[in-house]
Amino acid sequence: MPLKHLLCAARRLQAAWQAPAIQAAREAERALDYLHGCHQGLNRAGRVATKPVEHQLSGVVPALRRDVLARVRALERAAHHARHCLEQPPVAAPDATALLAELRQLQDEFGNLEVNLRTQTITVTTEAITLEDVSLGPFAVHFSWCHLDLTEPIQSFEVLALEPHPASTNDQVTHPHVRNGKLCPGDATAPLRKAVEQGRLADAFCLIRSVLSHYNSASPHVALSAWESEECHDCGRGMRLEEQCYCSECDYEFCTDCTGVCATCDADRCHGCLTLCSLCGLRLCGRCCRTSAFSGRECCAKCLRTCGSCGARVASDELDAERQRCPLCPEAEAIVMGPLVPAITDTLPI
Amino acid sequence: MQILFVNNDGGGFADQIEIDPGTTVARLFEQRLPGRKAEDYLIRVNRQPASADQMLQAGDRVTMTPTKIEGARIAR
Ligand SMILES: [Zn+2]
Ligand SMILES: [Zn+2]
Ligand SMILES: [Zn+2]
Ligand SMILES: [Zn+2]
Ligand SMILES: [Zn+2]
Repeated sequence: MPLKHLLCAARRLQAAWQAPAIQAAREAERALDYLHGCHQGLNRAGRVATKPVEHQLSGVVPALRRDVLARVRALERAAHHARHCLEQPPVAAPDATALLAELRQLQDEFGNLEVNLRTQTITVTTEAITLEDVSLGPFAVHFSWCHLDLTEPIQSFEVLALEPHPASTNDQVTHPHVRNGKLCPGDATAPLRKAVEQGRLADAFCLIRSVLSHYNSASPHVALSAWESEECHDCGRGMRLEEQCYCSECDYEFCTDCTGVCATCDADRCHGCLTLCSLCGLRLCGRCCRTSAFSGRECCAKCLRTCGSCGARVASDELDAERQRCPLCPEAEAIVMGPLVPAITDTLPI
Repeated sequence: MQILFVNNDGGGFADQIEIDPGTTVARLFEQRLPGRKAEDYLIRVNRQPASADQMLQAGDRVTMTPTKIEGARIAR
């Protein structure tokens, strides 16, 4: 990145850091002005309130005393607020030279750096991150310096997956510690706040990278062990990878409770894709399920018989057991084949 | 002699510290992060990578940043 561009960015960054410092100074000034005003008001009220006592106008005293008390309380609150403002450590805005050094270090640390003066963002890209064999791809870390909030600096960062491999149960979770583009910095919270406060941008980005490069199994949005988990297409229960059964017939994943095995070929199928043989009651996959040519009833291959006459495959209980004929054949035989058969059989013994 | 020391572990300490002349990067690490492993830290002297036996000079800026930090589910 050209030096001119970096220098320009450093100056803009410096202005961004100065803004909260100026704001804090103004607030302290306002708090002191208000405190002063409260003090003056109390002085005036106090003087008025003591006069009636001198003149023995006892009836007026309670109201004036209440007024003085209210002013004392207001003064107390004003003093408390002023103290709070003055107790805040003064924000020393980093100078442009230091910020330029930060930008150059960022470029060195990440091997890439983008500064967009129009959108007021700094972006670096991490290397591809793999945690416990789950590859999450590289992440772009954006820092936006408009509305810089030094008390909640993580809000100025956005972490976006460049080749997202989100948790299957929530596509907004692109990393165990990133949801909706926001990183939960965990143990990095305090050092990150310090780093941003002091304008140590390179440290801030490195801290974020350190969180992205590590998995805290005690507090993830989605555990890596459940990263690939899916919901059962039938009952909707969340399943881990090892619990999933794929049904190749309907192309969905099912839990083990919603899955059965074909009695003929042992293939796993969802309950919806298994058919019961209408004769023996065994479960059948689509490939192993047959239909009777006569009735269309679904049954297994073992429960089908071949008609000795027309060759049709029909359910075994539909076949005339004695003559091995399907229900369609006896009449047909009587009409068409009838006269010929005896003649042939008569001749056989000869 | 004085150096600026930034420890990005824990609370994020950053201040001038007094060290003995001849202190190396490795020695400073032992003093400041006892019991930790140097390979778990990104150590920079004046924003540049440094070797363990590099002798520190007055005015140096040394940063030590853990390379693996436990993130969370909710921002603390
Ligand atoms: Zn199920
Ligand atoms: Zn089958
Ligand atoms: Zn199915
Ligand atoms: Zn059957
Ligand atoms: Zn037949």
